[in-house]
Amino acid sequence: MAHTIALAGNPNSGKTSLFNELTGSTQYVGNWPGVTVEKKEGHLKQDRHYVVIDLPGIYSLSPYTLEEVITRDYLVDGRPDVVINVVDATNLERNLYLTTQLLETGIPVIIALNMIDIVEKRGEVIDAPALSLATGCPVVETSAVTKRGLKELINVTKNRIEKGGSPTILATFSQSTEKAISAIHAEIADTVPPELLRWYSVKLFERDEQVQQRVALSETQLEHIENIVKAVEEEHDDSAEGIITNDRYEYLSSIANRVHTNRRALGTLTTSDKIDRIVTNRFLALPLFFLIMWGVYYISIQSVGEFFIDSIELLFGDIASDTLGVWLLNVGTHPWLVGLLVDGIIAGVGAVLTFVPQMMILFFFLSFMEDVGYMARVAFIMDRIFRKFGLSGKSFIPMLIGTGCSVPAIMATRTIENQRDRRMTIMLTPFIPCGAKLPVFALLVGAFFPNSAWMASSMYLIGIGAVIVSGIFLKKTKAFAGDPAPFVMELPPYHMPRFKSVLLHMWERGREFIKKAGTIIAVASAAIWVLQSTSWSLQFVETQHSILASIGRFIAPVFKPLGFGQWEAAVATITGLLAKETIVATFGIVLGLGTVAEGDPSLVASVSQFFNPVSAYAFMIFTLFAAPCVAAIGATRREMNSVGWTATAILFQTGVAYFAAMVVYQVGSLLFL
Amino acid sequence: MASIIVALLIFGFLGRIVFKMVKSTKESGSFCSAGCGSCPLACEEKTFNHS
Repeated sequence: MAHTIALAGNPNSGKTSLFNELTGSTQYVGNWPGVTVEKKEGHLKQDRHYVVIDLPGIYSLSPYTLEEVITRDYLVDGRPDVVINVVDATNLERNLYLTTQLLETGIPVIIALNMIDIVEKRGEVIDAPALSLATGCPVVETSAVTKRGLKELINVTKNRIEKGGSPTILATFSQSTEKAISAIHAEIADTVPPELLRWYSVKLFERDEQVQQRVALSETQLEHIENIVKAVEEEHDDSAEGIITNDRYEYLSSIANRVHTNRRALGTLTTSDKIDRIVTNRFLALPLFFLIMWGVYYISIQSVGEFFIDSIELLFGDIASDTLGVWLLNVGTHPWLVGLLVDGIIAGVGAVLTFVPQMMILFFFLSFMEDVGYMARVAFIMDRIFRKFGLSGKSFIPMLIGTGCSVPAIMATRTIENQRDRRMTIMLTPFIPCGAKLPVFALLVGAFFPNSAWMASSMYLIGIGAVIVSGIFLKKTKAFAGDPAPFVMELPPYHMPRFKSVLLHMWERGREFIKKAGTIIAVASAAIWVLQSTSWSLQFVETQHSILASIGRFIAPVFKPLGFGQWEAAVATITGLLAKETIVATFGIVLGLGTVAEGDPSLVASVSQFFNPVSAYAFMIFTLFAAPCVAAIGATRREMNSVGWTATAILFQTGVAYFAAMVVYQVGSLLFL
Repeated sequence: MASIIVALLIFGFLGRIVFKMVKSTKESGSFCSAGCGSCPLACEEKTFNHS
């Protein structure tokens, strides 16, 4: 029979890193809190009889957030054999708050004193045996990053499972509170499982409504418990929940004083604090962020990225398209099959894959900034700005995830408890450019603005600006009015990036991009080629007389005020609904570009048929804001759980896109043309 | 003959992609499996089995 090991701990304490090391998985590890929303499952690498569950990061087992509900429901109902409590050793006292609650669930707990290497670097000492004695559970010093202590952790965990039994119950609270909890024990002893007696007693003392509903108590029992709680509240002149919290912290403070030596004196600044004084400075933070984003774009899109493009061009342009096409015709393959393969699939996929080097370099820098701890600061900076405009800072975490893909970003809005804020975040998250939109920007920037890194990076800034402006607007409507939900976020200490981890993130994101080119983009390219080669009577015709051209001509007038009223550009906006990269594939097929390099005269000449610099920028703005791809629309539908709200979101996004692109084109034409 | 082989290869390749996409979308009830470009996160409730 398989044994279950649950990983529980505070946000950003290293649970997912430990999970990956224990199971050999490559779950996404983010250096900001709240990356794990759902619980994840894997098997222990060394022994498949053990199942490891990675639970979302939480500060307590109160039922206030989705993460807390998922974790506590799993612990109470799922009953794992053991809980590895991943404790961030750099924040011992606060992390042990959860430990005291985990022990109350009656499940054996093992403390993994994670990030112990950072504690040692700071010259501090944590007495692990003394901590073990004080908490009554085994303590193992670990570092998931350097793999220190992992073997010992596995051995101790296995031994604890074999040993069985419940953990030692700690007398965490003051005498009068303990007495009250014992009285509640006696009241509910026949109603709840014995191993959960302490947990239910404490929760009933706190008047936890979910627990009150779960335990079927009579009116008399509930009244008796209420009298017990009220008596303690009067004695302490505090609420029941406040009493429990204070008692826990007093207890933990006494433990920390005993086991943690060389603690930093109050007011002493760490290196992270010193860096944060500049990075999160109210005047410097935003200019610094913009400067960093400009640098990232300059390196990835306009300098180093370009260097690698030649080899891709050689592969898809010369070898795949030309050589393969000629050879297939020579061996007697029908020309339309060669056209479908070479001018359709290879041209479409090739046009998208051309941007892989630039994407990889961009992903490298985004992963690097995240791993160092900078992205968490960005969320903090944005929280300050967002709050001024009535938005919750919690909304920015999904938007950070959205720099990769809107689908998980929309899923990540589950952490926002306020339904109004959540709906609004789902509607606004796709405004942050995802990885799939980057090839479109890179193509047009390469053709019209080859020497300006600001043009591509401006998409991020305009995206953030649009989120703020839309937030202000939506907050004035009845459906979204109300104060923003509070946002508490802990800033992880800066650390040197782990090269392997950064490369892994880069590869994971890049691999999905390549995979998508080889699947959905390939199918879309084939379909686009067929539509642009055949007429409604299914005869092979010139592109100008094709099905695609007639559809394009029908919708093109709509886009005329935006500056791209030609059928080719109009069609690309529609095919982009399938996946945003398809826009590039469409241009690749319709224009016969195959592969495209920045500043390539043939690219500029081809794209100039449809765009001038102003309308190209308007097209980029339209792509940035317009309804996302079908996958993201599907995610919106699932998370909103309403067709009406999904339609509202799509209409709002497309409306913003149309209006913004029209303003850019009309004003830009007056100023620059 | 060459046309038949090339047609089989092309349509086999495209058909396989469409079949897999439809199948996994039906099974998971989500478009995640359709391959979200540069998706950094796992799909919901992903289970890892290292056999």
